[in-house]
Amino acid sequence: MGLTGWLRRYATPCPLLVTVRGGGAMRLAAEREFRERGWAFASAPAEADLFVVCGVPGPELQDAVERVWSELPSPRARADIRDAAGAVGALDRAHARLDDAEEQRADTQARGGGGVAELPMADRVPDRDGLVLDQLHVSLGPVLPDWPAGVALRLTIQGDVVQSAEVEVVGESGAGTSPWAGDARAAALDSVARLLTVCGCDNAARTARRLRDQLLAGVADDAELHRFTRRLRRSRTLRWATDGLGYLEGARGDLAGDATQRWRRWIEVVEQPERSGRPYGGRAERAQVALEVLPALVEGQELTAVRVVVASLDPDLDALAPAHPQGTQW
Amino acid sequence: MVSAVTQAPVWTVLLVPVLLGALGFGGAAFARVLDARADGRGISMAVLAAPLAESGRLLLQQRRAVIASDRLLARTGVVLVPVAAVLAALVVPLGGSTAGDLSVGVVWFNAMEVVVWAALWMAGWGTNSVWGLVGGYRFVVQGLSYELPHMFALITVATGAGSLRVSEIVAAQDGLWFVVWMPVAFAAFLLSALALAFSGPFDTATGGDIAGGVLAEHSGADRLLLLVGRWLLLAAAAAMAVPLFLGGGAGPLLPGWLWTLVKAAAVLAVLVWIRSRTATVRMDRFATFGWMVLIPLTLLQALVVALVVAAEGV
Repeated sequence: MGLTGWLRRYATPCPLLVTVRGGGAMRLAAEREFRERGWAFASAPAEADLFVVCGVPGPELQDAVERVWSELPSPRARADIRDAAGAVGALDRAHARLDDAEEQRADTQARGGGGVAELPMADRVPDRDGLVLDQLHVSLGPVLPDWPAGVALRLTIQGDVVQSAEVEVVGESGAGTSPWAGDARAAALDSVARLLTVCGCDNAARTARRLRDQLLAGVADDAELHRFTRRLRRSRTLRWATDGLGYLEGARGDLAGDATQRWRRWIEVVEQPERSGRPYGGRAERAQVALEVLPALVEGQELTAVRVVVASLDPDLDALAPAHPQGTQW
Repeated sequence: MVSAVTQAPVWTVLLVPVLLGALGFGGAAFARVLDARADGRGISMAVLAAPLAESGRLLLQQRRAVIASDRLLARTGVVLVPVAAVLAALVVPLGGSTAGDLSVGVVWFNAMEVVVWAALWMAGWGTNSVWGLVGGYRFVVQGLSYELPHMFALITVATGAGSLRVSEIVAAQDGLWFVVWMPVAFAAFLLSALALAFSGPFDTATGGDIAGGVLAEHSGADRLLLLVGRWLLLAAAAAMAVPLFLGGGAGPLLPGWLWTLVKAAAVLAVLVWIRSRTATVRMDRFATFGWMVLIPLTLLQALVVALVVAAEGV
């Protein structure tokens, strides 16, 4: 078997998770498996060796998915999860392919050398202070970890400051597939987990995902939930990370205030046991409002702030009615 | 009673990377244990050995590069990170002996960690990627915020001991450890230890919000070197806290070298724990905190220590 086989035998896969609209339930199943197996999430293709696509991408998203797949270094394997029940099987098969020396050799030869496509050349335009600076066009989403499914944010940036932003909805509607019909508290914890990851609280995000899975399985311990929410409330660095970002004037219902106020509202939901088993209402309306206000909230902000703002709004496009055709400009 | 620190034979230089690697591995394994607990997994041998398994995985991974990236620049930066960490640890005495008893030991340590600024910036810039570039610049901004409090903390220690030589700093703590009467400098040193190792609340340069930043386009052995370098830096900073603030190898019963290791492991454990309990600090916030709070406090600490030293000298 040799050294290579020996090293591979002990290696744990590093999955890059992509969620397509309508793939929420599949993502939950995959994330639970990762957590129980101790597989660490990748934040970029260069890090990953397992490419996990949750849901069935339409033709438009397929391009983006294939491009990201081509950026994974060898050895690599892909798991297309098309329904939640098949998640475990798909992951097991992909893991086996990853360890299959013959298949990996063939894959590496087939793709040849070649590097990753470079960025388009930068333009030069005046920035907000009147200096002429390089301007780049980058896209956040639709294929990005810890990012709401189906959202693409086309940004024009100078340095790490966003000059202009456009929101695009990519992929076919996943209406009616929202996995949160069952539990408002689990849905809130899912949003919290994503925000925590974006804010660099990896450890707390793991706890949030575990508690979410326990709530969905009906085995959550209320005392532990309260310990966790207290920990978040007391975290000064978390408040530092979210304070003052994405401020929305009143009359926006659940989305009013800054990012801190929004995650605190999620935590209040988690702290109310009487809400377990009740659907999390108003998600469609929130998603709608979030998509409308997003460009104005992120223009003039740094990239970190953009991620925090998006995570704090966490639009659930699967809650939207299918009235919006794909590729809609907002 | 502190036994005097003396220069060890030259071959002990070879021991430095081994011991530093063991300490860094311990830190990485402890971080995995904290993660496993949050995940609700049991603590097994697989969890403890996970950093080794991950290293093996990265060794087998293909190295890739974006077209038109500056590979020489990027790879120079990548290699410099672990090298700088080992060089910084040269001046840390193990009990009563040290591999490099330089007359300017404290300055040497400081200089090696500043090498990391350049290294990380090169590793980010050279990849021809938005994320790497943004990450590299973020680290330079972070350096501007943490470096002054860090240097004031080091100067405070040097003032208290009246020397830049690490062995004399250890000797000056005979009877009273510096941590007791320089608590602010110690706290500032711990914060900057996390910052110089781009870890924990100061990991903006490699943040998940920019797809890993400096790490974004590095795979395989390049990525491994950056990650190993990060743990070595954190371990080196934790080990340096021992001679600077915690009396070096002083302690009852156990031999000096073991006390050094125990203290360094304890400091490292505290750093890893802080890392797991905090969110990434936004650089605009930290710049304000650094200049408005940390610098005045560390200056005040330096003033107090200078006055005490002057009063004793009279």
